[in-house]
Amino acid sequence: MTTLATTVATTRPARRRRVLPRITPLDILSIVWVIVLLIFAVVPMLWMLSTSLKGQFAALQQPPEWIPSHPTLQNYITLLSPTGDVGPVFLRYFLNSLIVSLATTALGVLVAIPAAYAFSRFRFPGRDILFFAVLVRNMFPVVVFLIPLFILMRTLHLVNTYWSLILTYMTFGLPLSIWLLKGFYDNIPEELERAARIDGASRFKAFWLIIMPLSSPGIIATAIYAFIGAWNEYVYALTFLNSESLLTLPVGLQHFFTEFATNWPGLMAAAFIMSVPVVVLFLLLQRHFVRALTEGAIKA
Amino acid sequence: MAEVTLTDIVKDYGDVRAVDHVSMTIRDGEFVALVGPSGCGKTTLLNMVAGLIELTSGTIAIGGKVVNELDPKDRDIAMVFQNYALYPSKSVAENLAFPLQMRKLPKAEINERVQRAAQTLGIEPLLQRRPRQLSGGQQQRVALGRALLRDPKAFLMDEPLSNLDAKLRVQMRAELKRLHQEFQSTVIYVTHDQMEAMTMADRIAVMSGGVVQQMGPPEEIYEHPANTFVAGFVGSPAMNFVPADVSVNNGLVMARGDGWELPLSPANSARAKASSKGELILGVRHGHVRVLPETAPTGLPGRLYTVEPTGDITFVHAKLGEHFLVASTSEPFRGTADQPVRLEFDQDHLYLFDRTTGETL
Repeated sequence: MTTLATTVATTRPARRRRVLPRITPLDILSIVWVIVLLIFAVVPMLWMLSTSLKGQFAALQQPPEWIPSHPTLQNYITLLSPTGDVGPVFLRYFLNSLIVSLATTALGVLVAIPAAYAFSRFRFPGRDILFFAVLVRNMFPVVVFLIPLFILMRTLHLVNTYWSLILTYMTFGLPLSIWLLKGFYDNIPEELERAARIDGASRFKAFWLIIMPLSSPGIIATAIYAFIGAWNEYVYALTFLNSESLLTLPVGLQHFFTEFATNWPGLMAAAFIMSVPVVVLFLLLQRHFVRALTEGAIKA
Repeated sequence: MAEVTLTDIVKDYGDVRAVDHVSMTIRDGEFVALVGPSGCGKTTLLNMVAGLIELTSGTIAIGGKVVNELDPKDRDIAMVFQNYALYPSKSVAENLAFPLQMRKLPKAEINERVQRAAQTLGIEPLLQRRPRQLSGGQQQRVALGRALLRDPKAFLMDEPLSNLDAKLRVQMRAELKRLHQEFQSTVIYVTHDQMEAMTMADRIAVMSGGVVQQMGPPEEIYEHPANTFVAGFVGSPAMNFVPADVSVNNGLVMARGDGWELPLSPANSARAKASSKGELILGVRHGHVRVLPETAPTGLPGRLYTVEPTGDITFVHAKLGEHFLVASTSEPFRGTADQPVRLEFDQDHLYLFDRTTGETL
């Protein structure tokens, strides 16, 4: 007994010391690498923000001012005021983008959920081929489909409508959404639905009341992905839309600033405003994302 | 509570027949265990009673009413799953309330029933917790509670204890049996653990290859197994099997093996003669084999393999020719490996099986 006690006593402190984080060269390397990546990602955004707060003259100054000496919100006011030359047009673009992106997201999620659920839970003829077919879309560059889709939209008389973009963006987002959600459903034990169905729920209710809350992290992730994709898309918006009042932000900005010469601070302010919804959405939903993950932990 | 009747149930998965013409009646208030190795069709059968899997053919009736076409929710049954299947996003109280909410009971009654079930199972302090904050045993109780407070026509249990550790399993086994006695409920209990089946069930159905090999009370299954499968599956350690041929010598019926001959008692002789080709399998449980010293006048010549003392009982493993046998004794036993011994079978408890069919003679 005594020998056991002494060995325990001597090994304990040693083990505790080992638990303390020791910084290895690898750690330093990875920290440096993360910092480099961070600079790469964040500096352009800071530069954008800084420029958007300057006047036209200060923006073109050499050497550049990193922090504006006379910051002004004039660019934002111009863009966001509902009166004047620029404001109404910009707000129209913003609204167009919002309509298209939200509709794409909502419809995409609405289609992806039952599709993913079916792929995960049901065995039906052609299931594997269909699932593969869904993914095939993602194996080609987006531009390949530009002309065929344009012809298709023209036949459907959808060119120059929101629907042309909504339907197109949905087909881009859906493969990954379905794939991602199927993974989620695969991980939810089937017994949960079986239990719910025996407890008196219909198949749909079992899905709605038990499975949906558990898959909400997946649905949120899917929604964010679909929204960002639709919000930032440029080429299709450029091709499918020509009426000024329907343009989305990415295309609108392009038109906007070739018309009004190159107003860099204005462009930067517009770009900043454009990135706001995505960032806000992500930050907002990310909280739910994490909470859903920890609270509804899926345990078999 | 109600009677559950299965008539000529068949389930095919493509070319594979998972359940092969099973018929049985589970009487009102009876606890029936479906037992067998994995893949024997027992869980498939249970899921068909629940309505989670469709039948290929046959009929299932609960309380005299054919339920083949009914959804699980309309069959008025409760089920406990191996992994408990508690709803992770709901608290314990919400989990318990869910089946009652689905049946649109008034709120006050739901609360009262949840409280009562929580009391019965001693899980009151856990009501506000989430399933993942509970231990395995607590989760098990909640799952049981969710089934109990419904007062359904029948309980279906799919290996409900197999995720628990050994000690808790024994405790819950007793608790479940006690609950069944109190509630007098109809229970269909699926397990691969013959010990659970033996200790808890009123009747056991031993399944293999989608077929019910034998169905009866535990004692009958144990004392009078229908074939080598049932004999070998029920009881622990498993029954000893030794192949032997029947030979008649001066009117005396002998079972002859590899280097040994066993004169059979008159009763056993008559049974041995009934074998189709004179080829037998002798079966004897560990309690009915005696290990004697080499010098003993009776018994078959064998060799000691190993000795396992467990405290109250000692298992002696020996070899008869190429076949391993287990004997048990409550007295201390000493011996060394490969030591020659004599093995004596209690002929009153000797089982004879036809080697061709595996059926008991």
